[in-house]
Amino acid sequence: MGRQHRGSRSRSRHAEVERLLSRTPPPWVDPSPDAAASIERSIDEATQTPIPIELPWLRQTRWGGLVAAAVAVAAVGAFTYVIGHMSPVPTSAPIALSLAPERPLVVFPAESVVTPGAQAEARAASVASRVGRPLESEMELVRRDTQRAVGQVFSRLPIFEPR
Amino acid sequence: MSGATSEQLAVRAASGDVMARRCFGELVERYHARLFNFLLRRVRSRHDAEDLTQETFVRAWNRIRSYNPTWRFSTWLFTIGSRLAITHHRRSRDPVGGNVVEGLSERAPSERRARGGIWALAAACLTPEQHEAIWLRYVEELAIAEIAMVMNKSQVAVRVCLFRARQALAERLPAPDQQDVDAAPRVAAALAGGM
Repeated sequence: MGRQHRGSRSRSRHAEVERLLSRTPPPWVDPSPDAAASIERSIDEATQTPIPIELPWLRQTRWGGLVAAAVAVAAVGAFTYVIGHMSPVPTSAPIALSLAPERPLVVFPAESVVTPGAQAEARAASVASRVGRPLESEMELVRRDTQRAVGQVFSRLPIFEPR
Repeated sequence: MSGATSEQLAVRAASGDVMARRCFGELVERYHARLFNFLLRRVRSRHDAEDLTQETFVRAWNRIRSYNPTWRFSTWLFTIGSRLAITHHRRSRDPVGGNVVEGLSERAPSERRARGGIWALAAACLTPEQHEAIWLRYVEELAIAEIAMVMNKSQVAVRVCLFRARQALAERLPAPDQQDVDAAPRVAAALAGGM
């Protein structure tokens, strides 16, 4: 009975406080008369100065920073996963630039670097002094090696696995 | 334009057309005094409150494109103001919203406080957080969800904060002798005797 009485009294006091808060105007302080003009001036100045770049989609979400951090971590993880699966490049498939030393493209005579006259001679005779395959064949070899290397790298990725 | 709601004006200001600046000027006129009085309770001086009011409007103008019209413009504006007040207190290393505001301080003469009635009692005995919640609820007439957004709290936390504020006021308010009596003299007595 006593508890009920206390509860009822408490509720009535709360209601009275609520009534007073709703009806009583708060002490109001008028801002200084030139404050509004000062605000307008500041806004005009802000309009003329460039606005820094923002990412509004980050600010609109409550957890924008967390989402951005999670995306960054996921991106780094994906990059690391792909790189981890791409390397090391298989040694059985040499990439195009590793041409075999026994197949040099062009060989200049040793004396061609000694005198200008000999250089001219060597330049004229360079086609004749080429050893091994002709240039077109070398390029074809390079292209084939590259295709093979790229094919092997991509075949290691799960999305390129044959079903 | 004066017949348009604040939300309509804000959307127009965000559109960036030739009337955008004028629409925002209208919003400044509508909310200037309200925002100033809200911030005056959060900071220690009139000068700081005016600076923060100006900063709030400049920031609101710069970010008007991020305004979401599903919320009331006042909620959005007061949220910016509240965040700036927190930053201001961090910079000045003062506790948030001390009650020592010029003209509203607890050291003001009791007759002046009595004129403020229940609000003077609230300024004197509530925590800054409770006072902010009470102000937003009964002066700005914001909904619980809107107060939660401004104060960056959950709705439950806001309800609890409001309940405790009303309880603190109820405990300090002397019992009424008559039901229909004006409460100002009782509040004045409470302020003069109990504080």
